[in-house]
Amino acid sequence: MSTAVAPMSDVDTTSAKPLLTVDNLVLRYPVRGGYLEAVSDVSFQVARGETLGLVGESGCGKSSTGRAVMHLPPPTSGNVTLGGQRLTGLPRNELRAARRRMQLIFQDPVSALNPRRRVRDIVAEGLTIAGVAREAAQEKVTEMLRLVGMDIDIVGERRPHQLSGGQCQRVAIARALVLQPELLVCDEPVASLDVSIQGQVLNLLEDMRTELGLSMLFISHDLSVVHNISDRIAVMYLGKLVEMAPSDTVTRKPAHPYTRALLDAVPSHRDTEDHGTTLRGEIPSPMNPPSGCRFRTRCPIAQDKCATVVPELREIAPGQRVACHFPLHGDHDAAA
Amino acid sequence: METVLEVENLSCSIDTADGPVKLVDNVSFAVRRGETLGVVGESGSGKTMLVRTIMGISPKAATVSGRVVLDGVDVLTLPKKERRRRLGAGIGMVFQNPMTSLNPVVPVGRQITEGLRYHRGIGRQEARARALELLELVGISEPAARLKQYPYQLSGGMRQRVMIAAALACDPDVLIADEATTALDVTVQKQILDLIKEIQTSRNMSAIIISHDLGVVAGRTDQLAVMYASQVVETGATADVFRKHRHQYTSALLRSIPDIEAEIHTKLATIPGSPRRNTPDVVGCRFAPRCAAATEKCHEDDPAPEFSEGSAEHWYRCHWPTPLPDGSTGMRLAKAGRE
Repeated sequence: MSTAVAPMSDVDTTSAKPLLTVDNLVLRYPVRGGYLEAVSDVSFQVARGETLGLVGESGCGKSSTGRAVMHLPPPTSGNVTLGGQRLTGLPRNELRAARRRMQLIFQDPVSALNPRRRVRDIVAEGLTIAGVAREAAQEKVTEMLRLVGMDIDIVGERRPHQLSGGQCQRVAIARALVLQPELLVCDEPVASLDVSIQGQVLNLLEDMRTELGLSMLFISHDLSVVHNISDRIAVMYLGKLVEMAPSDTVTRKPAHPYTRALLDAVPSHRDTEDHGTTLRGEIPSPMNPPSGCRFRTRCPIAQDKCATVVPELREIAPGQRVACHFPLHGDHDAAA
Repeated sequence: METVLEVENLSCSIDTADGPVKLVDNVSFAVRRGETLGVVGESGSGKTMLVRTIMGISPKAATVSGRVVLDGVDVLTLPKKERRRRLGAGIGMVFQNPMTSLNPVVPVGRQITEGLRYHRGIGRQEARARALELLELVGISEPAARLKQYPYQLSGGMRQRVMIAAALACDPDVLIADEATTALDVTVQKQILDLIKEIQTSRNMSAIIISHDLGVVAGRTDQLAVMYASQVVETGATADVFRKHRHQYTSALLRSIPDIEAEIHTKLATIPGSPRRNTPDVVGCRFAPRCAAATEKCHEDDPAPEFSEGSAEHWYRCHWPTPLPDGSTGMRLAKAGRE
């Protein structure tokens, strides 16, 4: 029997082309009285072996973006290309096959695992569906559990409720990685874990990335966590990307006022009285986003132009792109 | 400065099939007027049980011992009704999830003044006027319209502001915020923390801020207590606990937090295993099974509280305390210890 988990033959593994290309992604949900646009025209790329962090507050569309990349559900419009294969518009069965190359890890590891199944079966499920023989699957499961720091002889027969939250997340990671995906979409993977456990899971994800050459889309509301694990960070606000740059640039030299505000709001673990400025108000309803720049209603430096002209994401420094008419550094938007 | 709330050797235990389990284990602290005490610990460390025991709302089957002295009166010895009157008016509570702590079918105005009408016995009109004032105080726009609204019509941040307004209604001496900002976004969390600070300063009110997040208490509290397995394992001035922490758990916890100013892809220091629950058979240091510095002694002897050099307030329960830094901050020291 073939090992269906091997990368497909049409995958482009040689060139320096990005593994994941997302173009003009839009995701709309029908709601009473119209549409809710959760993701508005989002474009980004993730290189092989790279981790792209996606940060923003609740309701900003970061999870929806991750879901739309996986085609769970398929985006309303836009293109998702994974390793040269265009996923958008693929027939159902081909999409299913292609999805094996991307795996998802969720926030709450306990509810993400079937409480009635044993750990060894949970991890093996993807392999079974892919048609891998029992013996071979068992071998892979043992190996993968070992890789995430668990012994199949100890945990194999257990069910999720017999494990701690951190252990469940390890099982979830093993289940995702056993199919040898190229892309791992992590949706708040450490948000429900205690700090002492959070570090274990972050280190594990980092080890897996380097060891298996994975690419990651790492979604989180926690800038310190995202900064630690990501090569680049994309900041979202109300369905739009507002800034995208290498991690250190985002945290040390942010250009968008929202990124600045988000950084100021991250509780500092240094004991200092200076907490920076506080952002006014709360995130507006995505049902009826503000005109022009969506952040203008809370922006400390908004001007008339911000209410009328939608700022485009543009490069203001090498590798740093920002959607703001009046970025905190670099040229102002003279053209528009 | 005058002490407003003093907790002395407070314990709360519950009988199980295996024997009594301590939910709160011999906790002592004092909060002075206008000061803020931070209580940090991981889930299951006993933070919430501590608050419930103080407020006299521990589980029915629990056995409570020790003293809770509020404004000079040991409330635990009072008859139930009298205790309720004193605690209800003297301590304001804000909980983690405003959606479940607010009644979904009662307009928020009535919920804000419920305590006021119960404890102070004021009339409807006066209560309404007071509710308006309180809503304004916590920064809610159009307070008159909001009074009639229900919790579902408000955002998470607004609901938490309503909770704070209700907690402040009786002019409490102490405000206890139990993970009050955990469910909120960081930008809103900051607004709420700023608001609590502001109100505290203007009313000279004391506060206890309980959180799993060291960042929430850093720079916002005067005293800090670190809890582990139902015990306070280290306490002292917040600055001392952060910069001159002695307990192995405190220093491991501080090291395990990703530092936004560190290099990307920095390996995080981790604490092996997971937090333990107190069981009847527990002996020795609670943290010993996860501690890198633990010796045989730690597994056998429960370390007694010990004062840190030169401090009358900063103490820890550890046989092998981490050395004091040489003038540098605790965080820097912690960083140097990374793998």
